[in-house]
Amino acid sequence: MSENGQGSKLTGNFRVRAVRASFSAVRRLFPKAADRAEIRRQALKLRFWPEKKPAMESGRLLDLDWDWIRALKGLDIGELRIADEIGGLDNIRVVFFVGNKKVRQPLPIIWVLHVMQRKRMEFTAADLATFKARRLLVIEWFYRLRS
Amino acid sequence: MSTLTTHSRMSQGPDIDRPAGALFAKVFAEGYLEASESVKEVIESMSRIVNDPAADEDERSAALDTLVDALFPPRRPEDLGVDLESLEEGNSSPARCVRAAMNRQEARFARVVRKLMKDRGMTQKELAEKIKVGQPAVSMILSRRCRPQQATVKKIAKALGVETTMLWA
Repeated sequence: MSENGQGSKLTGNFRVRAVRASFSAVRRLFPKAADRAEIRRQALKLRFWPEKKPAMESGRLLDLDWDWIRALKGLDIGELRIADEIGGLDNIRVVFFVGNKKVRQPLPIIWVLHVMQRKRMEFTAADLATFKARRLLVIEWFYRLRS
Repeated sequence: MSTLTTHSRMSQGPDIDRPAGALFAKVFAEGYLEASESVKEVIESMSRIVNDPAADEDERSAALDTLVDALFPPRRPEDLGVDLESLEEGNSSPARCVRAAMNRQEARFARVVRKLMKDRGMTQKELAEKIKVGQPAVSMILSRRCRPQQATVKKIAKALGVETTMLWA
């Protein structure tokens, strides 16, 4: 591939879509376009999420660590941990939801629900309610409307 | 537009003028009334967080963004959210410049790492073991299907016995 060719080629097991609300968070956290692009390329690693649901609570996706959010067990909501400091922020998390794998366009979709700087050991009740709410909107407006 | 202006009053603090407040209330009420029961629950729970004095700024902002999403549903399922790969193909000038710079970094990195591995007779599997990632991660980084984290770049530099700056500019 040439130096000017596109990196992060369009391959993988999933498409990655971000809900509108997550964009607002990214814009607030990262005013610089370069930082937003960095976050986007890290989040795009979710394309390579395993097709078969991982049985373990946490693991590695390429060079990123991930965990299921334990307080939301069974809802297929996880967090991708970015180790780098980006835009002066550390402990950046990409919260994602693995959508219904039977719905393919042509690949199933992983939804980015939120991007945040994690400041506490545990997610707060408000954080969890927000993740659940965004997941519900995706199910209601994407998966139910299509069926 | 004047009806949507937010006035800042020195004596009373920021306030929304009455027509804007009425418009907001109308939009909110319409969005709420047209929503399904489950979306109504979302609107209610997010409104509680927005109005919770104990919530911090981040929590309130996230809840407010969710509330806006809930009140303005997409016209078609396909309009929900944005495909991150299509953003990678975006053609605006700043996006092109940023993308070109990132692509150059990744291409140079892959080229130099490949050469150093060859010089040292190191396989992808051996490099992967040294930096504690799976071999597919190394393969994808070298074929530029994923962008390494800086933490990974540092580990690779250490494994190859070179300065990070030699790999990543």
